[in-house]
Amino acid sequence: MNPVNFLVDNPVLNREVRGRMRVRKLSGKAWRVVAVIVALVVLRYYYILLRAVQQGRPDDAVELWRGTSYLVLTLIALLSPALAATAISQELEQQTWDLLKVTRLTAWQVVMGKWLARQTIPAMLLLISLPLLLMSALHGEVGVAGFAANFGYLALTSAFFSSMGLWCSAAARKTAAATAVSILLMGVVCLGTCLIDGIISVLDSFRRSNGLGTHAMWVNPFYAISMMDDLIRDPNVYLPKLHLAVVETSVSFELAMVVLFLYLLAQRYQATAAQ
Amino acid sequence: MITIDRLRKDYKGLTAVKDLSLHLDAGDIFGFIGPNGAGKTTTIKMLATLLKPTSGRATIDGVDVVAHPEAVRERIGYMPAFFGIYDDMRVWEYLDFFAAAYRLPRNQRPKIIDDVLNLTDLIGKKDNYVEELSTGMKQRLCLAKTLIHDPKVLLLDEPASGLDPRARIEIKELFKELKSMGKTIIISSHILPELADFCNKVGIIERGELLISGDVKEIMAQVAGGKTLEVRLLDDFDRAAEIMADLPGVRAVRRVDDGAPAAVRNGDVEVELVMAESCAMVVDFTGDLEAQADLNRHLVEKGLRVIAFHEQQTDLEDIFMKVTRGLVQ
Repeated sequence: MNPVNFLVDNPVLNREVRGRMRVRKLSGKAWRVVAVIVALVVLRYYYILLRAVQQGRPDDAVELWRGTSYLVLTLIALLSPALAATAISQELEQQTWDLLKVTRLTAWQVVMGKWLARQTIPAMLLLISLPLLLMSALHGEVGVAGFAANFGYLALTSAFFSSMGLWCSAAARKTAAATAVSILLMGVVCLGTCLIDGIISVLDSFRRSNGLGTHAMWVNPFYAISMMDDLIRDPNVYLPKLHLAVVETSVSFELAMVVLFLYLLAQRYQATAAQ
Repeated sequence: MITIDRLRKDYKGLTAVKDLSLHLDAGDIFGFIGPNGAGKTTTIKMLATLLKPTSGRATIDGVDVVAHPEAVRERIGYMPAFFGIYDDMRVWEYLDFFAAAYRLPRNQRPKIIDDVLNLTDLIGKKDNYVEELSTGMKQRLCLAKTLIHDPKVLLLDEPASGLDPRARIEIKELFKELKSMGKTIIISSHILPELADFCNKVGIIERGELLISGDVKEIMAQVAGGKTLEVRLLDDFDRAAEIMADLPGVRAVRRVDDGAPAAVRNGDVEVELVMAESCAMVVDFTGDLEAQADLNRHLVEKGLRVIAFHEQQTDLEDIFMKVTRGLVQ
């Protein structure tokens, strides 16, 4: 099966995306009215915001770019794992999982379908923030490459947290437990690393005096994105190789974890459970 | 079509299925009977590739269920005892989802969906949301989903559970339709009258062990050990019992009404009598048709007023009660 058909003809992906987009109680006409109103508000909002960016100073634009990317990253960290944590546990609880397993869907079709579908809302978040990030990055002289690197990292982090939430959903089997575990793991990655860093820094005066994070921080997406942004704004930043190493480590870590989580899920699906 | 060879499923401290062996030909309708917890669902799930057997082998249409589960899944339709539905889906969307999951060509799906909806009498609910359907309709929808890819074998686990009497009758008619389509069906139930009408083979399982299996009529003859006659008399019940007890082919005589018993012995068999206006006496009879006719003639010649004399159909409930209480000879 070619990759395009794998996605287009994936019934799991189609059903989950449709389920997310559907608001049953609204009729077609009401939907159209709501869509027009939302579009007008969003366009008006964007027009005002982008005009403000254009008329402002480059330094302000850069700060807006950084602030927006941190805000988007925070929302991604909160939403992505929680949204994905119900993907499999809900099917188990509502007893539809066995019906799915006896079909001819392959493990990868099911896993990829669920994974991609659960990123619908984070993807919409990224899409909504795209014009603002682009405009502020360009006006702040960050450049297209810098913007693309930053935006790409946000997308990768969304994929990482989604895959983590999906794995928690399969492992925990109950929605409440899956959601709790996925948020806990997100907390470990985003906050736990800060705690470890703080403890080590207290003990290591060199690191403390230079404001450098410990290796624990290298997997923290907030730390990685700040290092990336520093490097983008000023390639001659203090210890540029360290900044690059942090970014490369974080990207590699997230990519590896995405592959690992999805692979484990596919294996779990394929194995006929010996209950 | 289906061959099961010493299939076994062990859990910690429990053997759910013990060395079960069975063979079904194409077109067989197999009633899988047993009390709750007997191992019916476990067996069906192993055939449906949802559970891995501890040992043993099972093949469906020549394909091993453990070695080639994907190939088995395209040949089977599985309907579990308890199933959920996807919210926010219309009936046709639900079926379209499973049609896609079974890789039916996109351009053929609308017609196939209409066909299965017509078969399950849900065509009028095509655009309704699934959660709006009644329990019986959801059951039929699940059956429609099971049939969507036209499987050769159907594995139906207690398909009529939770249904009201009308819904049961409706779904039974559907099963008869499936039988006429030549499907091989394994249908499990602990409600026996459902199965009696359309199964040609049955298997009785208790505590993981298949106690007996085979053709329904052969099993009934084997377990019942003969036939059962019902003789209804107006009076002279004592005399009738004594006369019958001495006749060849009569193994035992018993009453079916309540009342004060009186005992007459025929060897080791006690005959119970009740004073009633008309008394139905049930006779375990091992004779042939000629002996049966002679019995009737003898009663009349002796002056007994017989108002009914006919062979009683042994049903699956009788078989089940005898087999699971270990009364098989």
